[in-house]
Formats: sequence, C-alpha cells, structure tokens
Amino acid sequence: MIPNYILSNLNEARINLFRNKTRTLLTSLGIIIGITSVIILIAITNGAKSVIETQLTSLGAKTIMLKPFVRTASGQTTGRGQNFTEEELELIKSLDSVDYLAPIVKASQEVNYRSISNIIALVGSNADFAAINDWNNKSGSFITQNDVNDGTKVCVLGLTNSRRFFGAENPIGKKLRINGVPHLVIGVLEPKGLTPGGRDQDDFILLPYTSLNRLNFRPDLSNVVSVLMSARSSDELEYAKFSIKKILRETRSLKPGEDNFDISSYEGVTKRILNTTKILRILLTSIASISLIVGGIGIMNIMLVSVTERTKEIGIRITIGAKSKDIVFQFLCESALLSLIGGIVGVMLGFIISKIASTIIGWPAIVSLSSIMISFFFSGGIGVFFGIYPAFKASKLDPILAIRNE
Amino acid sequence: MSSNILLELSGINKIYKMGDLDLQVLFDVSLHIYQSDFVSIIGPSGSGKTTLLNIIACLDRATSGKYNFFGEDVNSKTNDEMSEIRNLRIGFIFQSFNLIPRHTALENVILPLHYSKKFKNENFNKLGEECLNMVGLKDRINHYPNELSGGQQQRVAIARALVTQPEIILADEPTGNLDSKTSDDIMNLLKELNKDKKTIITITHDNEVAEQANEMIRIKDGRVI
Ligand SMILES: Nc1ncnc2c1ncn2[C@@H]1O[C@H](COP(=O)(O)OP(=O)(O)O)[C@@H](O)[C@H]1O
Ligand SMILES: [Mg+2]
Repeated sequence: MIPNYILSNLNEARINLFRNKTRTLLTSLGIIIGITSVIILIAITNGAKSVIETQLTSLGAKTIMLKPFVRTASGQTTGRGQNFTEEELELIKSLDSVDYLAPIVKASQEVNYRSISNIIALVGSNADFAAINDWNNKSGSFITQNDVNDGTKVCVLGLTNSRRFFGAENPIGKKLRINGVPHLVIGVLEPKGLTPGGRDQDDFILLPYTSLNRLNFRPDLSNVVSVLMSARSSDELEYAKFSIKKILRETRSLKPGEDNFDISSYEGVTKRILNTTKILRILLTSIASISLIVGGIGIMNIMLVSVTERTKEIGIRITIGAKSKDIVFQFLCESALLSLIGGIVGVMLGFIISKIASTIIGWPAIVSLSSIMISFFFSGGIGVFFGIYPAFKASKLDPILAIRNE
Repeated sequence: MSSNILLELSGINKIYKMGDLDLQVLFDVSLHIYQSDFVSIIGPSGSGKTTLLNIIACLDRATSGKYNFFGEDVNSKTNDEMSEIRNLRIGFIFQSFNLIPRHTALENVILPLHYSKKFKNENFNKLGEECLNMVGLKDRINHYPNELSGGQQQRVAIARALVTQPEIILADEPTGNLDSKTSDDIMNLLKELNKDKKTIITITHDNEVAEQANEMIRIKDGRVI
C-alpha cells in the first residue's frame, strides 16, 4: 500500500530526528526564525488591512480631512500651518461638491457628576459630525446648528461615558459639570465598540465646538485640529478636494507648493497606514527570506552529514533491494520533516510574538489560518528542495563499499 | 533434480581501477550453480571470494565475461533492476550481520518487504514474525540488535534473508564472528534451509565449514582451482 510506504518512511524520519533532538532543533533554527517572521509579517499586514477597512467604514469613502498642517514632499506633516477662519469654512461649505462640514476641536478635561469625577476626552463639533461619521443617537437628540451658533452648554455622551457617570440611570436632562461648568445632557450615541487596535470608540463626550472653545477660552478656530467634510459622492471626491484647495489658495494668496494646510482622504489614509508598516514589512520579509535560505542550507548540510554517518545503513538497504527512488524518498521525508518541525515551532513562536506585540503597540495582529498553511507548505517545500542533493547523493552510494567489513 | 541451472558464470574477470593502477581480482572464472545446491566458496583471505559473491549477488558487475541469472543476462540490467532481483530472489547474510541498530529484530526482518511490489498488500509484521519463529527467535522480536548475542543477531539476519522467500541465500563468512558452538547452529540452520530447496552459496575460509556443503569451490589469487 502506498500510504503504508509513506508512513513507514515518515516514521523512519521521525525516529532519526528525535534520536538527536539538539541537533534537530539547532538545524531547524533558520527555518524557525524564517517562519516566525513570515507569521508576524502576515499578521501585521492583515492587521493593517483591518485597520484600513475600519477606517473605510467609519470615515467613509467620501470623507475629506482638512488639517492646519504643512505636509512636506516626503509625506511627513511638519509644524502647524495656518488656522482656518469661519469665512473659509463658509466658502467650502457652499461648494456643490461638499455636503457636510464639521470642524473638530479636541480637549481633555475634568468632568464630574455628583461624586464621580474623571478626565474625559471632549470632542467639539457641529451637527454635521453625525452624518460624516455615521453616528446615530441611541436616545435623546444631537447638537444643532443653533447650539453651535449660541455656544449652548449641552453635550451628547458616548455610551461608555453614559455608563460611567449614570450607570443604568437615564442621563438625558441631567447636568454634567465640565471643567466646573454645568452642561445639559441632550443625547446618548449608539455604541461603535472597540477598534481592532483595542481603543474604545465610545469613550468621549461631544459638545458644540463653540461651547468647547469657550471652555478653553479660545473663541476663534485656533483649536481646530481638523475639519471633516463629506463629498457629495465618492466620484466627486477628487473634484471636491481640488475645489477646496483652490478656495484656500485664493483666500490665502498661496502659490502652489506653499500650501499651509493639509488635505487628505481615505486613499491617503490607506497609503499612510501601509507606509507605517512598510519598513516593518520590508524588514520582516528580508529576515524571513534570508533565514529561510540560510535554514535551507543548514538542512542540506546536516543531511549530507547524515548521509555520511549512515553510509552503512544505506548500503544495507540497497543490498536488500532498495531502489534509488526508495533512498531518495527516505531522505527527502527526513529533510522535509526536519524543516516542518522548524515550521511548526516557528508558527507557534510567531503566533505568541504577534499577540504580545499587538497588545504592546496597540496594533492588531491577525494570525490567519492561511498564513499557518502557507508556513507549513513553505517549510516543507524548503526541506524537500534543500534535501534533494543529499538524497540523490545517498541513492548513488555504492553498496559494496558501504557494507564492506572493516 | 539438480539439473536445473540457476546461475551461470563464464569467463568472468574483475579489474579494480585504482588511479593509474589496474588490479585484477578475478581471472576467467566460470561456474554453474544448480537449483537446491549447497555451495561453499573457500580460499585464503584476499583471494577474491567476496568479489565473486558480490558479482553472483548482482551487487557488482564483472569487468568482462557473461553472467546468466535465471536465464537472463545480468550485464544488461540497470541498477534498479538489479535491486529488484536482489530483493526478490536473493537473501543476504554477512559476517558482521549488518542489521540496522535502531530497528528492532522485527523491523529489521521486514525491511526488504518495504522495497518489494510483490508483498505490497501483505501483513509485514505477520510475515516477519513467521520468519523469526523459523529461526527460533519468537521471543526476541522487539529486541534491538545490541540486546542480542552474535548468534541471535545472525539469526535475525537469516530471518531477514528469508522474508521475501527468495530462491537463493548468499552468505559471506556467516560464522566468521561466532564461536564454534554458535557456528554449528547457524550452519545447521543453513542446511535445513537447503533441505527446503533453497539454493545456498556460502563463503568460508574454514575447511570444516566448507565440507558441510555438497559442493566446494576453491579460489586462490582470483582463480578457481
Ligand atoms: N573496491 C575495491 N577496490 C579495490 N580493490 C578491492 C576492492 N574490493 C576488493 N579489493 C581487493 O580485491 C582483493 C580481493 O578482495 P576480496 O574479494 O574482498 O577477498 P576475500 O573476500 O577473498 O578476502 C583484495 O586484494 C582486495 O584488496
Ligand atoms: Mg571477504
């Protein structure tokens, strides 16, 4: 039976490899490091993809971001650019290709309700914030343009903060003190849960940005960290970006290349996320390929030693009827298994390191089943490839010399 | 019944090339081996006995001369075809037993079966146990070679030689490493196999052992005398 033949060869290989465990482990070190890198590499790439996907759904393909930054040619943001003015934002908002526009102001301040007190992330924006970010109210209402115009002391809670301050109570109509100033809770948002990186997306309190600016004693727009906009459709995204640039350059009398603002969209985010992981990925790919090749050569080397050590055994086998293919197969099984052991250890190590790294850096690492399959396939393949030469050498042994009585 | 010729060597020469030097080890050897023969090859050390046996065994090729094995010309066979012949038609016994040390007695015995198409669907362990039983090692099947005495190891080797049910058993000084009592046991075993119609060719440099065969081939300096 053919499976029986393969099984007995695999068993033979297992006996030989486990007889010399230290040697087996040291030999497969290259493969272990290589496969560990492959697993981490794929885990991080998958993680980056999932972050991008979340960005895509939460920001939307129509979203444009405008920031008071200067971006250099290499893509790095350097220093602050020029703050936006109400007039500029009015002009942009009046564009046909732009549907929604929401300035974003951020601050962290002490918030308390009765005896509960905490430093909370505050977000200041306007009514368009909900549409752009796809936030829906769980209960109550959202901030309105009137709230923004008047700087009303109202706030909308992310679910985490509703629970934090009010527990099971209904927070609507209650007053939270933000930096000591009472603000009326008018709504609670639907929860969005954790990001793949583990950040709680519901841990914030939303205010009209004018109210937040007043709390910060900054009545102008100098606190605006970004302006989110939504193009009318994703087809009009590029045109909208072009129009926004044109408005800003005209009002600020800028020549091309002097831009003191930064405009980006989802595509840019994707590129930047991929860029952050690029160096890591190049590094891991190099480590993986170098150690897999070095590992393969190590396997070839130890298999050649093994063939020499077992000259007599090979001679006996050939004498009693082994054909070339039998000897080749036996040694290929051994080198493949040797490499596969390295692969298995590498997968486990890669899995553990990915998980640890992901909790430390807050970046998701997704070890997929396919990456494990690829690793096994790869390590087995390397074992076979680098085992070919030693195996053929073994099969060409002259049995007479091998079994000679010494 | 001994008119049936199995092996036929005529004008066999064997020359080893050692660098520029040619070393002729066998000179114009011709002989016939009949079915159920018990042949001993005797001669001093270095006279070419092993070389001759290796050629008979289809392990080595003659430099010139004709060799018919069961009516077929061995010279025209490929290495793999010769492997197949050895696997199915020849059992090997060596002076130093040549067992694989990390395999048990049973695993050693069934090794030839792994290389055989003929036994593909058989129960290897059952065949192996039968052979070990035949050589009186029923209770040692799971022992490793280093747990067995020399005589027992040689019995394992004989069981391995028998497992593919070959017509011919070739033995190269099978008693060379054994004391005289154990040697007698092994020779008796070979004689019994011969009674079972196995053709046996054994090398020895011991006259007493050689005389137990029913035919003796004497070799000196690479020539049959
Ligand atoms: N592979 C070889 N290469 C060179 N010389 C060999 C080889 N094998 C055997 N010989 C030589 O051939 C001669 C016969 O050897 P061998 O057949 O082993 O003799 P015996 O078995 O009778 O002791 C010896 O002189 C030996 O050194
Ligand atoms: Mg000899």
